[in-house]
Amino acid sequence: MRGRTHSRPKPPGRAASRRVRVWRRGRLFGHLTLAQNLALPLCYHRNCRPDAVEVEVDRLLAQFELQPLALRLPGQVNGACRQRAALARAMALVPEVLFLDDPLAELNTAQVHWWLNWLGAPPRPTDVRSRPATIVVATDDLRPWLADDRQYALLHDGRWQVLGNRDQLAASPASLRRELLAEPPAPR
Amino acid sequence: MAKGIAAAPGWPRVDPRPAGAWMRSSLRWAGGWLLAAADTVRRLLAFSLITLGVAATRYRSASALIGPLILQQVATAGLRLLPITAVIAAAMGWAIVGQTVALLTQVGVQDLIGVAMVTAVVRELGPLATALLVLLRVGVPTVVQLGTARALGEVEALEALGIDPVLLLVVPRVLGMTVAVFALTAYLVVGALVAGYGFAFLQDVPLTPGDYFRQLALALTWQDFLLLGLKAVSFGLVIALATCFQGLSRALELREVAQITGVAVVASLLGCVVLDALFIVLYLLL
Repeated sequence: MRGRTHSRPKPPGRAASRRVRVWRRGRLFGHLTLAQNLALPLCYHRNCRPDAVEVEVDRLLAQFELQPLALRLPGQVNGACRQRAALARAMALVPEVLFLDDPLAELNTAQVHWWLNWLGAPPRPTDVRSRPATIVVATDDLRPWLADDRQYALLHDGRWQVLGNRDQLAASPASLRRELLAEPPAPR
Repeated sequence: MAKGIAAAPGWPRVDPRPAGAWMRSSLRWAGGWLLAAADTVRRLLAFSLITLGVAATRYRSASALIGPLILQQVATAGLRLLPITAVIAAAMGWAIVGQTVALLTQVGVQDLIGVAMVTAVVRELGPLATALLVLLRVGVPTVVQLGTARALGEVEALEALGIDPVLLLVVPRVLGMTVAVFALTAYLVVGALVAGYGFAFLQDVPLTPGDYFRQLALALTWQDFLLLGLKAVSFGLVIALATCFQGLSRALELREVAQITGVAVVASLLGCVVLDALFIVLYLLL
């Protein structure tokens, strides 16, 4: 990947789902701490006790910059941290396809930067989990997501319409561009 | 505007109908209620079978995680309720055993003390009181927890992570509550009988402890032990399954959690009463 070789970590279990979804606001389990939320799917799929995955969970929390909040309940941290913890929990399962449900909604600028940086930056050697090959993002606003190496599609009235890459998106009808990219109408 | 408010759902309406129409609507309501109850029982049975199937086939695949959860549930539903069980046992001993022993002694039929105690405390009140206690202290929080988790999408998130919600949320609660009701019933019955004699002693009833417990031993048969155990286990299962079913069975909104909590309590009570009636028939047959 980008001229470097990265070894993929072993999938956490035989039955682990390889297509994992991250919801808006995270949907973490309210009675578990952030660390326990991350440990739960690992323990379930590996049939082990939480202390057996403690080191891995710590490294995941560090990768997603959540270590100081490890012992907090989801209700005690802000929405951005909850959503990032949900991303860490999803990544713990080494997904092949990651579905993100409008991850930038309700985030401040710094958090938006963090997400876009995580999605666009090359993997670091210290990462416990590298990003999956396929990430599908559902969003109402395409503007933050415009990049050359991405494909776009439109889900409208229950129908799936492939728009193509950024250039093809730019060549789409003006009305569609106005809707997706909030482009101002052409001057008369 | 006023018409719009009155037409809103949940607003009380008074319809000026003739008497015959009220009868028809009452019958329609009763019929609808019966059909809904039958459908709920059918779905509850299906839910019970699913839980049994998941416990039998998938427990081993996640035993290291589920095992401690079961023990935690036994502690929550059983150990934590021991103090209040002791208080209820003492109250039952004073209110029922103590007074009954004193009354039977006054009218000179002391020989019936054992039979009366076994029938009242061992067969009926002990298991029912324990079931009520567990329903109120553990069953109600269970519905609220599961209903809230369902309403907030946590259950959906579990499924998305490849985790079976029945194995993680239902199986530990069902096993924990069943074991807890069984154990607490035994403690409650023993506590009530011992406390009852204590209160009878305080009322100067001329009955030695040896006579009291000999009469109890004579009145107890192996069927009493067997059916008491079965009854306690059945009550525990009914409460656990009804509360978990109401919390998880359908998509909920947060505002509906209070409503389903009430439904779960009523369903559990009805289930226990029906089971109790069946056990009375069994006692009579054996």
